[in-house]
Amino acid sequence: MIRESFSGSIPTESRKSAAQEYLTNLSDAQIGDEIDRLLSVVEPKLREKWEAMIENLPLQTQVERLWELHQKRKEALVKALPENVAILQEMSHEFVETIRERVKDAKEIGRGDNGKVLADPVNKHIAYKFLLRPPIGHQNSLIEEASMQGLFHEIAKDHAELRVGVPRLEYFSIDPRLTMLAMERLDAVSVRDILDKKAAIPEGTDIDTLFDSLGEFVKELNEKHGLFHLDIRPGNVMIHKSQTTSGHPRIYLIDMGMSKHKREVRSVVVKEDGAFVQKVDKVSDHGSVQSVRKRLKQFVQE
Amino acid sequence: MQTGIGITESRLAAIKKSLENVDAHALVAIPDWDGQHFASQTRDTYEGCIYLFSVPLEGGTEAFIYECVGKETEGSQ
Repeated sequence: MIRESFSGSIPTESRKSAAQEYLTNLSDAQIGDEIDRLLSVVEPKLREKWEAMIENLPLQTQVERLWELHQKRKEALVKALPENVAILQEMSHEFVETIRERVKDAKEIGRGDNGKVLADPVNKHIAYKFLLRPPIGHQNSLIEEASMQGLFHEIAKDHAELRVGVPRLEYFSIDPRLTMLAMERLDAVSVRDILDKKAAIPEGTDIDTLFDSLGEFVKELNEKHGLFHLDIRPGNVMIHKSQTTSGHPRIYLIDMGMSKHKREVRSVVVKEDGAFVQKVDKVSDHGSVQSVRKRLKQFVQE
Repeated sequence: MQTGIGITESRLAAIKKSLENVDAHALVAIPDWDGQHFASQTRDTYEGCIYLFSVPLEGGTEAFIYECVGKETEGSQ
C-alpha cells in the first residue's frame, strides 16, 4: 500500500532513488491514488496550479514532480517561520479526522476575543485552542502565537523558582482543514472567573506572593529577553486550583495571541483604562500585572 | 497559505532525545511531555495508541509520534 509505505511524508533527496524504484512497481491505479493524495493536502488555489503543471506528464513523472513541489514548498515555509518553530510534515487525513472527532463534543473551557479553548475528552492533559476568525490588527497568527508560547514556556521553566507557569505547547496545526494549537491543559481558574463569581479563589491563595512572582517573571521577559505579553488582564492570569508543594507553578500566564518581540513593539497600540494608547517607548507588562493584582485584592476585601 | 504540523525546537529536541540508543521498533515516552505521547522510529500499530504525525530527524529519517492514553510509562514526567 503506497499510503502506508510513505505515511504522509515526502521523500527526501537521500531516499529519492529508492522512492523512484518503488514507483515503478506500482499499478497505474496506485500511482493515481498517490497523485490524489499529494494534491489533496494543499490549498485549492495551489492545487489548481499544480494540476495544470503536471497534467501532460506521464503518471510516474507526475508523482515525482509533485514530490519536488512539496519539498520546495516545505523549504520555503521553513524559511518564513519564527526562529523557534519548525514546520515538520504535511498533515495526514487520519490525523485531521482523529482531532475533529475528538473535539466534536469537547467541553469549551475558555473563550477570548479571538479564540476558544476546548478540553480533549480523551486525554485530560491536553487542550486545543481554535481561532474564531483570522487574526486582525496586532493579533498574532497562529504560528506566531505558537512561537511565543514556546518561548515563554521555556523562560518560565528556566525560572522555576518563581513558580510562574506558561502552558506547554505540544504541537500546532496550520493546515486549512484544522487550524489549532494543542497545549497543556491546566487545572486552574482564571482571575476573570473569580471576579465574575464563576469560580472560587483557590484555598490558600496568597495574592501578594503570586503577583510578586508574576511581576518578577514579566520583568525577566521584558528586560532580559525583550519579550512582551501585551495582553495581561484578568482572563489571561490563572491560579492553580490546589496547593502544590513540589515546586510546580501556582500562577499561570496564558494567551500569547498579542505577544511581541521588542523589535516589533514600537507601533503597538494597547487599551489602558478604556483608552487606546500608543506604546512607543518604555513598554512594559508591569502595570498590567499590578492592575490585575489590585482588582483581585479589592474583590477579596469586599 | 502555510500548512502543516509544527512544534517548537525544544519539543523536537525532546523527541530526538527519546529515540537515542533505542531499538528502531521501540515505543518510548517523550521526555517532558504528559506521559501519554510516545515516539518510535517505526510507523506501526501499537496497542492502545493512536498515530498522530511524523517529524523529520537527521539523515532523512523520521520519528513517528503516537498518543497512548492511559499507557503505563517509566521516566516520562
